[in-house]
Amino acid sequence: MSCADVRLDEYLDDELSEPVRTEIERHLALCGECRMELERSRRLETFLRKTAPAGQAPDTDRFLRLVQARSRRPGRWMLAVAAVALVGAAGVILSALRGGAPADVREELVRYALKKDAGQAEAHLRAAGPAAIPVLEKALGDPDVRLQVAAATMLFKLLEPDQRKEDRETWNRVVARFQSPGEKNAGWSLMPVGLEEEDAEIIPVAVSMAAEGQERWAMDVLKRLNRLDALARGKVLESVVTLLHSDNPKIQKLALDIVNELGIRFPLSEIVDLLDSPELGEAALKFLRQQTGKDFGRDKSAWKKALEHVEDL
Amino acid sequence: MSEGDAMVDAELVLKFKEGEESAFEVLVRKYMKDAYSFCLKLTHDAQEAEELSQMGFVNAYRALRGFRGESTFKSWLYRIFINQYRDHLRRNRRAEHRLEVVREEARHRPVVNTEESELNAGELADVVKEKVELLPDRQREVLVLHLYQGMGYTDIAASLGCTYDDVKMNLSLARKRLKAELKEYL
Repeated sequence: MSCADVRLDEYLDDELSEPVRTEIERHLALCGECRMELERSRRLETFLRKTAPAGQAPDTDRFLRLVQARSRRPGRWMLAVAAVALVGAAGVILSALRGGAPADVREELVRYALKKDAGQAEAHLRAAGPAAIPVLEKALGDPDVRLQVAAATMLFKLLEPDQRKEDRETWNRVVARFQSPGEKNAGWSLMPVGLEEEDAEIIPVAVSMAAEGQERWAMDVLKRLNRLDALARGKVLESVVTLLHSDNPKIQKLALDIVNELGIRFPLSEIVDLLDSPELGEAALKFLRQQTGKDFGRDKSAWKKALEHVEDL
Repeated sequence: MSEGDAMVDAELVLKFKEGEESAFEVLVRKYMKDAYSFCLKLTHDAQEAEELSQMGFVNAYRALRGFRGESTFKSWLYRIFINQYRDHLRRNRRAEHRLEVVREEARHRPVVNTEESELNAGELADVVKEKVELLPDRQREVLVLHLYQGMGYTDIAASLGCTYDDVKMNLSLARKRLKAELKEYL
Protein backbone atom coordinates (compact mmCIF):
# COMPACT_ATOMS: atom_id res chain seq x y z
CA MET A 1 0.00 0.00 0.00
CA SER A 2 1.38 3.41 -0.94
CA CYS A 3 0.76 6.63 1.00
CA ALA A 4 -1.67 7.79 -1.72
CA ASP A 5 -3.86 4.74 -1.07
CA VAL A 6 -4.06 5.27 2.66
CA ARG A 7 -7.52 6.51 3.59
CA LEU A 8 -6.49 8.25 6.79
CA ASP A 9 -9.69 10.24 7.33
CA GLU A 10 -11.86 7.19 7.01
CA TYR A 11 -9.48 5.27 9.25
CA LEU A 12 -9.70 8.00 11.88
CA ASP A 13 -13.50 8.13 11.59
CA ASP A 14 -13.88 4.37 11.89
CA GLU A 15 -15.56 4.10 8.51
CA LEU A 16 -13.49 1.20 7.18
CA SER A 17 -13.91 -2.54 7.29
CA GLU A 18 -11.63 -4.52 9.56
CA PRO A 19 -9.37 -5.93 6.79
CA VAL A 20 -8.75 -2.43 5.36
CA ARG A 21 -8.03 -1.06 8.82
CA THR A 22 -5.49 -3.80 9.42
CA GLU A 23 -3.81 -3.05 6.13
CA ILE A 24 -3.60 0.66 6.98
CA GLU A 25 -2.20 -0.10 10.42
CA ARG A 26 0.51 -2.16 8.75
CA HIS A 27 1.35 0.81 6.54
CA LEU A 28 1.32 3.21 9.49
CA ALA A 29 3.80 1.04 11.35
CA LEU A 30 6.25 1.55 8.48
CA CYS A 31 5.49 5.14 7.36
CA GLY A 32 6.43 8.06 9.61
CA GLU A 33 4.87 10.67 7.32
CA CYS A 34 1.40 9.05 7.42
CA ARG A 35 1.70 8.64 11.19
CA MET A 36 2.42 12.35 11.51
CA GLU A 37 -0.50 13.25 9.27
CA LEU A 38 -2.81 11.07 11.35
CA GLU A 39 -1.48 12.67 14.50
CA ARG A 40 -2.12 16.16 13.07
CA SER A 41 -5.73 15.15 12.31
CA ARG A 42 -6.17 13.89 15.86
CA ARG A 43 -4.70 17.07 17.30
CA LEU A 44 -7.03 19.14 15.11
CA GLU A 45 -10.08 17.24 16.41
CA THR A 46 -8.97 17.66 20.02
CA PHE A 47 -8.30 21.34 19.46
CA LEU A 48 -11.64 21.96 17.75
CA ARG A 49 -13.54 20.16 20.52
CA LYS A 50 -11.65 22.07 23.21
CA THR A 51 -12.41 25.45 21.66
CA ALA A 52 -16.00 24.74 20.59
CA PRO A 53 -18.71 27.07 21.85
CA ALA A 54 -20.31 25.54 24.89
CA GLY A 55 -23.25 26.80 26.83
CA GLN A 56 -25.92 25.66 29.18
CA ALA A 57 -28.78 24.22 27.14
CA PRO A 58 -32.11 25.95 27.78
CA ASP A 59 -34.38 24.55 30.45
CA THR A 60 -36.07 21.53 28.91
CA ASP A 61 -39.59 22.20 30.24
CA ARG A 62 -39.56 25.83 29.15
CA PHE A 63 -38.14 24.85 25.76
CA LEU A 64 -40.84 22.23 25.32
CA ARG A 65 -43.62 24.65 26.29
CA LEU A 66 -42.37 27.14 23.70
CA VAL A 67 -42.16 24.49 20.98
CA GLN A 68 -45.70 23.38 21.80
CA ALA A 69 -47.02 26.94 21.78
CA ARG A 70 -45.37 27.71 18.46
CA SER A 71 -46.53 24.46 16.90
CA ARG A 72 -50.17 25.28 17.33
CA ARG A 73 -51.76 25.93 14.00
CA PRO A 74 -53.52 29.25 13.56
CA GLY A 75 -57.26 28.95 13.81
CA ARG A 76 -59.73 29.44 11.07
CA TRP A 77 -59.95 33.15 11.80
CA MET A 78 -57.90 33.63 8.68
CA LEU A 79 -60.78 32.53 6.52
CA ALA A 80 -63.13 34.64 8.57
CA VAL A 81 -61.03 37.74 7.98
CA ALA A 82 -60.71 37.03 4.28
CA ALA A 83 -64.38 36.36 3.92
CA VAL A 84 -65.28 39.51 5.80
CA ALA A 85 -62.95 41.50 3.61
CA LEU A 86 -64.38 40.10 0.43
CA VAL A 87 -68.08 39.80 0.94
CA GLY A 88 -68.45 42.47 3.57
CA ALA A 89 -70.13 40.21 6.08
CA ALA A 90 -70.95 42.24 9.13
CA GLY A 91 -70.34 42.20 12.78
CA VAL A 92 -67.01 40.63 13.42
CA ILE A 93 -65.00 43.00 15.40
CA LEU A 94 -66.23 46.35 16.57
CA SER A 95 -68.86 44.70 18.69
CA ALA A 96 -65.97 43.58 20.80
CA LEU A 97 -64.78 47.10 21.29
CA ARG A 98 -67.18 48.04 24.04
CA GLY A 99 -65.24 46.69 26.99
CA GLY A 100 -63.11 48.62 29.44
CA ALA A 101 -59.60 49.77 28.59
CA PRO A 102 -56.76 47.65 29.88
CA ALA A 103 -54.14 49.30 32.02
CA ASP A 104 -51.60 49.53 29.22
CA VAL A 105 -52.54 48.95 25.60
CA ARG A 106 -48.97 49.20 24.44
CA GLU A 107 -47.89 46.58 26.91
CA GLU A 108 -50.56 44.24 25.57
CA LEU A 109 -49.42 45.00 22.03
CA VAL A 110 -45.85 44.13 22.95
CA ARG A 111 -47.04 40.84 24.45
CA TYR A 112 -49.04 40.19 21.31
CA ALA A 113 -46.05 41.02 19.10
CA LEU A 114 -43.70 38.84 21.10
CA LYS A 115 -46.25 36.04 21.34
CA LYS A 116 -46.27 36.04 25.10
CA ASP A 117 -49.78 34.82 25.86
CA ALA A 118 -50.72 36.33 22.51
CA GLY A 119 -54.31 35.06 22.69
CA GLN A 120 -54.88 36.78 26.00
CA ALA A 121 -53.12 39.93 24.79
CA GLU A 122 -55.35 40.01 21.71
CA ALA A 123 -58.44 39.63 23.89
CA HIS A 124 -57.27 42.56 26.03
CA LEU A 125 -56.63 44.68 22.95
CA ARG A 126 -60.11 43.90 21.66
CA ALA A 127 -61.55 44.68 25.07
CA ALA A 128 -59.75 48.01 25.16
CA GLY A 129 -62.20 49.31 22.61
CA PRO A 130 -61.58 52.51 20.67
CA ALA A 131 -58.90 53.46 23.20
CA ALA A 132 -56.61 50.90 21.55
CA ILE A 133 -56.78 52.45 18.07
CA PRO A 134 -54.51 55.51 18.59
CA VAL A 135 -51.91 53.38 20.35
CA LEU A 136 -51.96 50.88 17.49
CA GLU A 137 -51.73 53.69 14.94
CA LYS A 138 -48.70 55.09 16.72
CA ALA A 139 -47.09 51.66 16.75
CA LEU A 140 -47.28 51.54 12.94
CA GLY A 141 -44.29 53.88 13.01
CA ASP A 142 -42.43 51.99 15.72
CA PRO A 143 -38.80 51.24 14.84
CA ASP A 144 -39.35 47.63 15.86
CA VAL A 145 -40.79 45.84 12.85
CA ARG A 146 -42.46 43.26 15.09
CA LEU A 147 -44.56 45.99 16.67
CA GLN A 148 -45.39 47.39 13.23
CA VAL A 149 -46.57 43.98 12.08
CA ALA A 150 -48.53 43.37 15.26
CA ALA A 151 -50.16 46.80 15.11
CA ALA A 152 -51.14 46.42 11.44
CA THR A 153 -52.50 42.94 12.11
CA MET A 154 -54.55 44.13 15.08
CA LEU A 155 -55.83 47.19 13.22
CA PHE A 156 -56.91 44.93 10.42
CA LYS A 157 -58.74 42.76 12.92
CA LEU A 158 -60.28 45.66 14.79
CA LEU A 159 -61.41 47.79 11.88
CA GLU A 160 -64.17 46.21 9.91
CA PRO A 161 -64.69 47.14 6.27
CA ASP A 162 -67.27 49.84 6.93
CA GLN A 163 -65.12 51.49 9.49
CA ARG A 164 -62.13 51.37 7.19
CA LYS A 165 -64.02 53.69 4.90
CA GLU A 166 -64.91 56.03 7.75
CA ASP A 167 -61.50 55.95 9.32
CA ARG A 168 -59.71 56.29 6.02
CA GLU A 169 -56.69 57.97 7.47
CA THR A 170 -55.82 55.09 9.80
CA TRP A 171 -56.59 52.54 7.15
CA ASN A 172 -54.46 54.34 4.59
CA ARG A 173 -51.55 54.14 6.94
CA VAL A 174 -52.00 50.38 7.27
CA VAL A 175 -52.21 50.08 3.50
CA ALA A 176 -49.19 52.33 3.05
CA ARG A 177 -47.18 49.86 5.07
CA PHE A 178 -47.80 47.37 2.33
CA GLN A 179 -47.43 49.68 -0.59
CA SER A 180 -44.01 51.18 -0.04
CA PRO A 181 -41.80 48.31 0.93
CA GLY A 182 -38.66 49.98 -0.32
CA GLU A 183 -38.92 53.36 1.33
CA LYS A 184 -37.03 53.62 4.51
CA ASN A 185 -39.08 54.97 7.41
CA ALA A 186 -42.08 55.40 5.17
CA GLY A 187 -43.19 51.97 4.15
CA TRP A 188 -43.56 48.49 5.41
CA SER A 189 -40.21 47.22 6.55
CA LEU A 190 -40.50 43.76 5.09
CA MET A 191 -37.21 43.99 3.31
CA PRO A 192 -34.68 41.15 3.51
CA VAL A 193 -32.69 43.03 6.14
CA GLY A 194 -34.63 42.85 9.37
CA LEU A 195 -36.95 40.14 8.16
CA GLU A 196 -38.00 38.21 11.17
CA GLU A 197 -40.02 35.10 11.57
CA GLU A 198 -42.72 37.19 13.25
CA ASP A 199 -43.33 38.94 9.94
CA ALA A 200 -45.09 35.79 8.79
CA GLU A 201 -47.98 36.93 11.02
CA ILE A 202 -48.88 39.38 8.31
CA ILE A 203 -49.62 36.63 5.80
CA PRO A 204 -53.34 36.32 6.57
CA VAL A 205 -53.61 40.09 6.39
CA ALA A 206 -51.88 40.15 3.01
CA VAL A 207 -54.16 37.39 1.78
CA SER A 208 -57.14 39.36 2.95
CA MET A 209 -55.85 42.48 1.26
CA ALA A 210 -55.55 40.54 -1.97
CA ALA A 211 -59.16 39.51 -1.47
CA GLU A 212 -60.09 43.17 -1.19
CA GLY A 213 -58.92 43.84 -4.69
CA GLN A 214 -55.42 44.99 -3.77
CA GLU A 215 -53.85 42.04 -5.55
CA ARG A 216 -50.80 43.65 -7.04
CA TRP A 217 -49.01 44.76 -3.92
CA ALA A 218 -50.53 42.09 -1.70
CA MET A 219 -48.98 39.53 -4.06
CA ASP A 220 -45.71 41.37 -3.76
CA VAL A 221 -45.84 41.10 0.03
CA LEU A 222 -46.80 37.44 -0.20
CA LYS A 223 -43.93 36.75 -2.59
CA ARG A 224 -41.42 38.17 -0.15
CA LEU A 225 -42.97 36.34 2.76
CA ASN A 226 -43.05 33.12 0.79
CA ARG A 227 -39.29 33.39 0.46
CA LEU A 228 -38.83 34.10 4.15
CA ASP A 229 -38.46 30.60 5.55
CA ALA A 230 -40.09 27.23 5.67
CA LEU A 231 -42.50 28.34 8.36
CA ALA A 232 -43.67 31.32 6.34
CA ARG A 233 -44.07 29.14 3.26
CA GLY A 234 -46.13 26.80 5.39
CA LYS A 235 -48.33 29.69 6.50
CA VAL A 236 -48.82 30.93 2.97
CA LEU A 237 -49.75 27.44 1.88
CA GLU A 238 -52.07 27.06 4.83
CA SER A 239 -53.82 30.33 4.09
CA VAL A 240 -54.22 29.30 0.45
CA VAL A 241 -55.71 25.93 1.43
CA THR A 242 -58.10 27.71 3.78
CA LEU A 243 -59.20 30.05 1.00
CA LEU A 244 -59.61 27.13 -1.33
CA HIS A 245 -62.06 25.52 1.09
CA SER A 246 -64.24 28.60 1.05
CA ASP A 247 -67.73 28.33 -0.42
CA ASN A 248 -67.19 31.52 -2.33
CA PRO A 249 -65.83 30.98 -5.88
CA LYS A 250 -64.20 34.41 -5.88
CA ILE A 251 -62.13 33.48 -2.85
CA GLN A 252 -61.30 30.11 -4.36
CA LYS A 253 -60.19 31.82 -7.56
CA LEU A 254 -57.99 34.11 -5.50
CA ALA A 255 -56.35 31.04 -3.95
CA LEU A 256 -55.56 29.69 -7.41
CA ASP A 257 -54.15 33.06 -8.46
CA ILE A 258 -51.87 33.13 -5.41
CA VAL A 259 -50.64 29.60 -6.11
CA ASN A 260 -49.91 30.54 -9.72
CA GLU A 261 -48.34 33.87 -8.96
CA LEU A 262 -46.09 32.57 -6.20
CA GLY A 263 -45.21 29.33 -7.94
CA ILE A 264 -46.17 27.44 -4.78
CA ARG A 265 -45.68 23.71 -4.83
CA PHE A 266 -49.24 22.89 -4.05
CA PRO A 267 -51.06 19.68 -3.16
CA LEU A 268 -52.63 19.18 -6.56
CA SER A 269 -55.32 16.89 -5.17
CA GLU A 270 -56.81 20.01 -3.56
CA ILE A 271 -57.26 21.49 -7.02
CA VAL A 272 -58.93 18.39 -8.43
CA ASP A 273 -61.93 19.02 -6.19
CA LEU A 274 -62.52 22.29 -8.00
CA LEU A 275 -63.03 20.59 -11.37
CA ASP A 276 -66.77 20.31 -10.69
CA SER A 277 -67.15 24.00 -9.99
CA PRO A 278 -68.97 25.87 -12.77
CA GLU A 279 -66.98 29.03 -12.00
CA LEU A 280 -63.57 27.49 -11.40
CA GLY A 281 -63.55 24.20 -13.28
CA GLU A 282 -61.83 25.67 -16.31
CA ALA A 283 -59.17 27.49 -14.27
CA ALA A 284 -58.55 24.35 -12.20
CA LEU A 285 -58.17 22.21 -15.32
CA LYS A 286 -55.75 24.69 -16.86
CA PHE A 287 -53.74 24.73 -13.67
CA LEU A 288 -53.56 20.93 -13.48
CA ARG A 289 -52.52 20.69 -17.14
CA GLN A 290 -49.77 23.25 -16.58
CA GLN A 291 -48.45 21.59 -13.45
CA THR A 292 -48.47 18.00 -14.68
CA GLY A 293 -48.30 18.17 -18.45
CA LYS A 294 -51.21 15.71 -18.47
CA ASP A 295 -54.85 16.08 -19.39
CA PHE A 296 -57.71 14.01 -18.03
CA GLY A 297 -60.39 16.60 -18.71
CA ARG A 298 -62.90 16.89 -15.88
CA ASP A 299 -62.46 13.24 -14.87
CA LYS A 300 -61.71 13.66 -11.17
CA SER A 301 -60.99 10.01 -10.43
CA ALA A 302 -58.51 9.78 -13.33
CA TRP A 303 -56.73 12.90 -12.05
CA LYS A 304 -56.62 11.59 -8.49
CA LYS A 305 -55.20 8.28 -9.62
CA ALA A 306 -52.52 9.99 -11.70
CA LEU A 307 -51.65 12.40 -8.91
CA GLU A 308 -51.06 9.67 -6.37
CA HIS A 309 -47.79 9.03 -8.18
CA VAL A 310 -46.94 12.63 -8.94
CA GLU A 311 -47.35 13.73 -5.32
CA ASP A 312 -45.18 10.92 -4.07
CA LEU A 313 -42.26 12.57 -5.78
CA MET B 1 -26.75 5.86 17.06
CA SER B 2 -27.68 2.32 18.02
CA GLU B 3 -30.22 0.29 16.12
CA GLY B 4 -32.28 0.00 19.28
CA ASP B 5 -32.39 3.78 19.60
CA ALA B 6 -33.58 4.13 16.01
CA MET B 7 -36.30 1.57 16.69
CA VAL B 8 -37.49 3.43 19.77
CA ASP B 9 -37.67 6.60 17.66
CA ALA B 10 -39.56 4.79 14.91
CA GLU B 11 -42.11 3.54 17.46
CA LEU B 12 -42.55 7.04 18.84
CA VAL B 13 -43.07 8.42 15.35
CA LEU B 14 -45.67 5.76 14.70
CA LYS B 15 -47.48 6.57 17.94
CA PHE B 16 -47.47 10.25 17.02
CA LYS B 17 -48.93 9.47 13.61
CA GLU B 18 -51.65 7.47 15.34
CA GLY B 19 -52.59 10.57 17.29
CA GLU B 20 -50.53 10.25 20.45
CA GLU B 21 -49.18 13.80 20.73
CA SER B 22 -47.16 13.00 23.83
CA ALA B 23 -44.86 10.85 21.68
CA PHE B 24 -43.53 14.02 20.11
CA GLU B 25 -42.83 15.45 23.54
CA VAL B 26 -40.66 12.41 24.29
CA LEU B 27 -38.73 13.00 21.05
CA VAL B 28 -38.19 16.68 21.87
CA ARG B 29 -36.94 15.81 25.35
CA LYS B 30 -34.61 13.21 23.88
CA TYR B 31 -33.04 15.39 21.18
CA MET B 32 -33.40 18.89 22.54
CA LYS B 33 -29.96 19.20 24.13
CA ASP B 34 -28.20 17.70 21.10
CA ALA B 35 -30.17 19.95 18.78
CA TYR B 36 -29.36 23.05 20.78
CA SER B 37 -25.68 22.11 20.95
CA PHE B 38 -25.64 21.48 17.20
CA CYS B 39 -27.21 24.88 16.45
CA LEU B 40 -24.81 26.53 18.86
CA LYS B 41 -21.82 25.01 17.06
CA LEU B 42 -23.18 26.33 13.78
CA THR B 43 -24.18 29.80 14.92
CA HIS B 44 -21.84 30.46 17.86
CA ASP B 45 -24.71 32.41 19.39
CA ALA B 46 -26.83 31.11 22.28
CA GLN B 47 -29.93 33.09 21.37
CA GLU B 48 -29.83 32.14 17.71
CA ALA B 49 -29.15 28.54 18.67
CA GLU B 50 -32.22 28.41 20.90
CA GLU B 51 -34.37 30.05 18.25
CA LEU B 52 -33.16 27.73 15.50
CA SER B 53 -33.52 24.62 17.60
CA GLN B 54 -37.02 25.61 18.69
CA MET B 55 -38.15 26.37 15.17
CA GLY B 56 -36.55 23.15 13.98
CA PHE B 57 -38.77 21.19 16.36
CA VAL B 58 -41.83 23.26 15.37
CA ASN B 59 -41.19 22.39 11.73
CA ALA B 60 -40.52 18.77 12.65
CA TYR B 61 -43.86 18.65 14.45
CA ARG B 62 -45.63 19.98 11.38
CA ALA B 63 -43.88 17.66 8.98
CA LEU B 64 -43.73 14.50 11.07
CA ARG B 65 -46.95 13.00 9.76
CA GLY B 66 -45.38 13.06 6.30
CA PHE B 67 -42.15 11.37 7.46
CA ARG B 68 -41.86 8.14 5.50
CA GLY B 69 -39.09 6.51 7.48
CA GLU B 70 -36.67 6.36 4.58
CA SER B 71 -33.90 7.47 6.91
CA THR B 72 -33.67 7.36 10.69
CA PHE B 73 -35.72 9.91 12.57
CA LYS B 74 -32.50 11.46 13.84
CA SER B 75 -31.11 12.04 10.32
CA TRP B 76 -34.44 13.44 9.22
CA LEU B 77 -34.54 15.75 12.23
CA TYR B 78 -31.05 17.04 11.58
CA ARG B 79 -31.99 17.67 8.00
CA ILE B 80 -34.68 20.00 9.29
CA PHE B 81 -32.19 21.79 11.53
CA ILE B 82 -29.77 22.15 8.63
CA ASN B 83 -32.52 23.60 6.42
CA GLN B 84 -33.54 25.91 9.24
CA TYR B 85 -29.94 27.06 9.55
CA ARG B 86 -29.61 27.60 5.80
CA ASP B 87 -32.83 29.64 5.73
CA HIS B 88 -31.53 31.61 8.65
CA LEU B 89 -28.27 32.31 6.84
CA ARG B 90 -30.01 33.26 3.64
CA ARG B 91 -32.31 35.75 5.20
CA ASN B 92 -29.85 37.18 7.61
CA ARG B 93 -27.96 39.68 5.60
CA ARG B 94 -26.40 40.94 8.76
CA ALA B 95 -24.71 37.56 9.08
CA GLU B 96 -23.45 37.87 5.54
CA HIS B 97 -22.22 41.34 6.29
CA ARG B 98 -20.56 40.08 9.46
CA LEU B 99 -18.87 37.38 7.45
CA GLU B 100 -17.65 39.98 4.99
CA VAL B 101 -16.18 41.92 7.89
CA VAL B 102 -14.50 38.76 9.16
CA ARG B 103 -13.13 38.04 5.69
CA GLU B 104 -11.92 41.60 5.37
CA GLU B 105 -10.28 41.49 8.79
CA ALA B 106 -8.68 38.17 7.96
CA ARG B 107 -7.19 39.65 4.80
CA HIS B 108 -5.63 42.54 6.66
CA ARG B 109 -4.65 40.88 9.91
CA PRO B 110 -0.95 41.40 10.52
CA VAL B 111 1.07 38.24 10.89
CA VAL B 112 2.01 38.01 14.54
CA ASN B 113 3.43 35.31 16.70
CA THR B 114 0.23 33.60 17.75
CA GLU B 115 1.43 31.05 20.22
CA GLU B 116 -1.46 29.38 21.99
CA SER B 117 -0.08 30.55 25.31
CA GLU B 118 -0.45 34.16 24.22
CA LEU B 119 -4.17 33.93 23.60
CA ASN B 120 -6.72 33.40 26.28
CA ALA B 121 -9.42 30.78 25.85
CA GLY B 122 -11.96 33.30 24.56
CA GLU B 123 -9.61 34.67 21.93
CA LEU B 124 -8.67 31.20 20.86
CA ALA B 125 -12.33 30.28 20.50
CA ASP B 126 -12.81 33.41 18.36
CA VAL B 127 -9.97 32.37 16.06
CA VAL B 128 -11.51 28.92 15.62
CA LYS B 129 -14.98 30.35 15.12
CA GLU B 130 -13.66 32.63 12.40
CA LYS B 131 -11.88 29.80 10.61
CA VAL B 132 -14.89 27.51 10.81
CA GLU B 133 -17.23 30.28 9.61
CA LEU B 134 -15.03 30.80 6.58
CA LEU B 135 -15.38 27.19 5.47
CA PRO B 136 -17.78 26.62 2.58
CA ASP B 137 -21.28 25.81 3.92
CA ARG B 138 -21.23 22.12 3.07
CA GLN B 139 -17.80 21.59 4.64
CA ARG B 140 -18.88 23.39 7.81
CA GLU B 141 -22.09 21.36 8.08
CA VAL B 142 -20.30 18.06 7.57
CA LEU B 143 -17.63 18.98 10.08
CA VAL B 144 -20.11 20.02 12.78
CA LEU B 145 -22.28 16.94 12.31
CA HIS B 146 -19.27 14.66 12.44
CA LEU B 147 -17.14 16.28 15.08
CA TYR B 148 -19.70 17.53 17.58
CA GLN B 149 -22.72 15.34 16.94
CA GLY B 150 -20.66 12.19 16.47
CA MET B 151 -22.48 11.16 13.31
CA GLY B 152 -21.08 8.63 10.84
CA TYR B 153 -20.83 9.38 7.12
CA THR B 154 -24.04 7.53 6.23
CA ASP B 155 -26.15 9.46 8.73
CA ILE B 156 -24.56 12.75 7.70
CA ALA B 157 -25.34 12.00 4.05
CA ALA B 158 -28.98 11.32 4.99
CA SER B 159 -29.17 14.54 7.01
CA LEU B 160 -27.69 16.68 4.27
CA GLY B 161 -29.38 14.94 1.37
CA CYS B 162 -26.05 14.20 -0.32
CA THR B 163 -23.98 11.11 -1.07
CA TYR B 164 -21.58 9.23 1.17
CA ASP B 165 -18.71 10.30 -1.10
CA ASP B 166 -19.73 13.95 -0.83
CA VAL B 167 -19.48 13.66 2.94
CA LYS B 168 -16.08 11.99 2.70
CA MET B 169 -14.74 14.61 0.33
CA ASN B 170 -16.09 17.62 2.21
CA LEU B 171 -14.87 16.39 5.57
CA SER B 172 -11.46 15.74 4.13
CA LEU B 173 -11.33 19.22 2.55
CA ALA B 174 -12.46 20.86 5.80
CA ARG B 175 -9.76 19.05 7.74
CA LYS B 176 -7.07 19.88 5.23
CA ARG B 177 -7.97 23.52 5.26
CA LEU B 178 -8.24 23.79 9.04
CA LYS B 179 -4.96 21.96 9.55
CA ALA B 180 -3.32 24.57 7.35
CA GLU B 181 -5.13 27.55 8.85
CA LEU B 182 -4.64 26.50 12.46
CA LYS B 183 -1.23 24.90 12.15
CA GLU B 184 0.37 27.17 14.73
CA TYR B 185 -2.01 25.83 17.39
CA LEU B 186 -1.68 22.13 16.57
